[in-house]
Amino acid sequence: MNEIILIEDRPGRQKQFLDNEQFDMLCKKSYLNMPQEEICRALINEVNSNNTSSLLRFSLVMIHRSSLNRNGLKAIEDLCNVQKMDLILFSGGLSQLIYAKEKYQSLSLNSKEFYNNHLISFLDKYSQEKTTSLLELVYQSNWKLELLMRYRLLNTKEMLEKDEIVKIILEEEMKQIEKITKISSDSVNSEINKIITSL
Amino acid sequence: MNVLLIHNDNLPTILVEAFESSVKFNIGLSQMMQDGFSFDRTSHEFLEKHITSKQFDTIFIPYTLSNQNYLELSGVRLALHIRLTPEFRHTRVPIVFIGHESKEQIAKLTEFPSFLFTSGIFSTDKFEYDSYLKIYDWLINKWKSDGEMAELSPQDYEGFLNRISIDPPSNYLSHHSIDNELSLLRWSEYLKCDEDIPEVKLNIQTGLFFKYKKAKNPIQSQQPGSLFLIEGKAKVLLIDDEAQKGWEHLYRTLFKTSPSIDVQSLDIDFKLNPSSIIIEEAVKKVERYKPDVILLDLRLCDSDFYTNISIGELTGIKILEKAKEINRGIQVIITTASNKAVSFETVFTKGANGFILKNGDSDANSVINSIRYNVSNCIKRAKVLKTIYSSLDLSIKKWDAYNLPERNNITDIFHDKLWNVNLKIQVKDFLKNSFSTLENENLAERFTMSILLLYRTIEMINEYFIIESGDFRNNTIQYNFDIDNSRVPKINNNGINQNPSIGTTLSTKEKISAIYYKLNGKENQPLFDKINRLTTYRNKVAIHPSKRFKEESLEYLFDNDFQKFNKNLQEYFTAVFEFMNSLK
Repeated sequence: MNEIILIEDRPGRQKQFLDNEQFDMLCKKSYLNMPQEEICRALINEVNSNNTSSLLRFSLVMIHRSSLNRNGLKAIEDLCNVQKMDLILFSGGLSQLIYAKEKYQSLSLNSKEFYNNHLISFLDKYSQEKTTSLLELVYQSNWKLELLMRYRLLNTKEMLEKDEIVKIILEEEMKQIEKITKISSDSVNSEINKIITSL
Repeated sequence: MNVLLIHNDNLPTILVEAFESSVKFNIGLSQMMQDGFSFDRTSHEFLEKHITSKQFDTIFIPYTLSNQNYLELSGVRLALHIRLTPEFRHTRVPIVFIGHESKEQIAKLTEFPSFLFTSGIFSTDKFEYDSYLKIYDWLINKWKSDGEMAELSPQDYEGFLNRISIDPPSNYLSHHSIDNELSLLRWSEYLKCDEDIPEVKLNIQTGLFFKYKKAKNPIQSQQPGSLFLIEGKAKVLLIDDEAQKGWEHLYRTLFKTSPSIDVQSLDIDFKLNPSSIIIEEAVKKVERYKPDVILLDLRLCDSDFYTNISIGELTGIKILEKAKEINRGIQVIITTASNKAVSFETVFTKGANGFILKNGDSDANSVINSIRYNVSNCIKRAKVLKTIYSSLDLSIKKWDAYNLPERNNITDIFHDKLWNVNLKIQVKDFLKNSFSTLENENLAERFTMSILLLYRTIEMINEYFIIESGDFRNNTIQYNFDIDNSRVPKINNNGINQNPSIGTTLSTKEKISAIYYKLNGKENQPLFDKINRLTTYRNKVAIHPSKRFKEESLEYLFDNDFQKFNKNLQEYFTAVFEFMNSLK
């Protein structure tokens, strides 16, 4: 089971996005550590003082970005990098969702997008090691659309690419997507159209 | 072809290389993990660097600029920055999106669908440079009628603004937070201290929402204002969850030419504490600092932004009520951003003394003048009311504890055995009303009216302790103490006449001196002098007002000689409190 920690220093804000039932459900999840009030503040102080030892056992760290200072951000980055942990940073001030999986998987998004109605089901799946991408939190089952659209662009890029090495890299990336989506290049367009039409 | 391609190596290399002007826009993990990172800020800085000094005819951008999440569609947001930032000088340039998808398909996936269908937005699913040459040729030569520039006309641009909609980020919990930030910047610009709030300034300059708001409602440019002097020593307390963001600095700047004004703010983490703790800390601060004026925001924590919250539940309103319990003389000016739920009238019924609306579109000059008037006026009021309220509060407590003896002789039909109980209530009521009248700025002669109510309290006490019999018109009047029926002496500047003859009248001030002498066994000349001046004021100015005494009225002195006004008023109240509290 993947263990997850949610570090939210503004419980008032949390209650704006989650109703009581959702909040109670989150509190009851055995895989989820959700420190409250003094404990939460103490943990944030630790992280901001470069001490992330309390977070070592988690597979996914979800943290309110604004609670971290420069030190804290660096400490979290180092931790995720070394431990290959997944990271979700949320904040009310983030205007654009950003996803990266360069050294580790990370998602940066607005609090409103983070506290969505699918948060609990996503966390359930994540804890059971049944997720592939953090993007599933935001796009749910349509996250495959992202793969297909990216695949289509990679395909175009690869076809027009003259540099053999770049071509190989692109092909490799496409193969990985094919493995996940199990869709052949012939049916990509129709599959994308089908999904978008259903939206 | 005078065009720019913005990409992130996510287009075929051969296509990117064919463009004479192309620039890479990449936001990855390293940027994301930087302190103070914001997509809008990074976009703004990127565009400022790459397009401001050029003049492109067309800009090509792929729908998405991410190599790891196609659905980010960050190209659309970047294009909106181009459209909404006049400083970049490309607001009307045609923009062509690149992607396999149609605009209709992207519209289902982006948060800005209507933008795609505004004038000057095109899309292509081609990835060969020749196709782009054709598009460019069509745009330059065929898109607009002969003689028209290949760019959005003013009408097109207006149509674009009317069609799109951009929501604020969710950290702006309501319109309140947006106006709060906008007004902070505008007022700081006016006071020339905006360089000291770089975060707010940058946020408003670079945030897409603020760019949209500015384009929709252009703000008239304003001339920086001059500073001004507020006279008198005073303590101003700021209670605002955004104090550290810049409001404290703004007020300090506002008062920096008035060195006798001390400004402090409630230093607490508003975001992390619940309403109850904020109220508790505010009360402690008010008790410790003893401010003359409080500048108070109403929404101070997350729970104040719940949609179903009533005005009475707002943290600011609760602090207002508590501050008034501590001392009604403390002047509270509400400083709040526009919100339908908080009306001007409501805060005044809750006891507020001033109201400053934080409105991002307001004229800074008139707002700053309004703050000046509000604060100056409140400082003057606090100087009068705070001291009087403290003495009043103490005197009422002593009066409550005083065991007023029962009246022995009931000589009229208006009183009964409960006279002592009623007197205690009546005196308190008159004192409180006297104070409320002082506070009421709607009354033209509030000071004089207040003195009449105050004076009535000593008359009531006199009537209680002294039995008056006979009639002064036929020289049969005489005065006896109710306590032991002994004769009331006549005490004045000529000395004490223990046994005045029948028919000798006693004035109110002489009765007070006699009661004091009877209960304390000694004279009190200073108190007698004070009562004398109070009586003179009451008789000359309040009861018989005439032009002759106009310059002696408290109303006149308030406007023309505040020091004398305050000295006289404090003395009138002190005289009554001293007399009341001398009763044994």
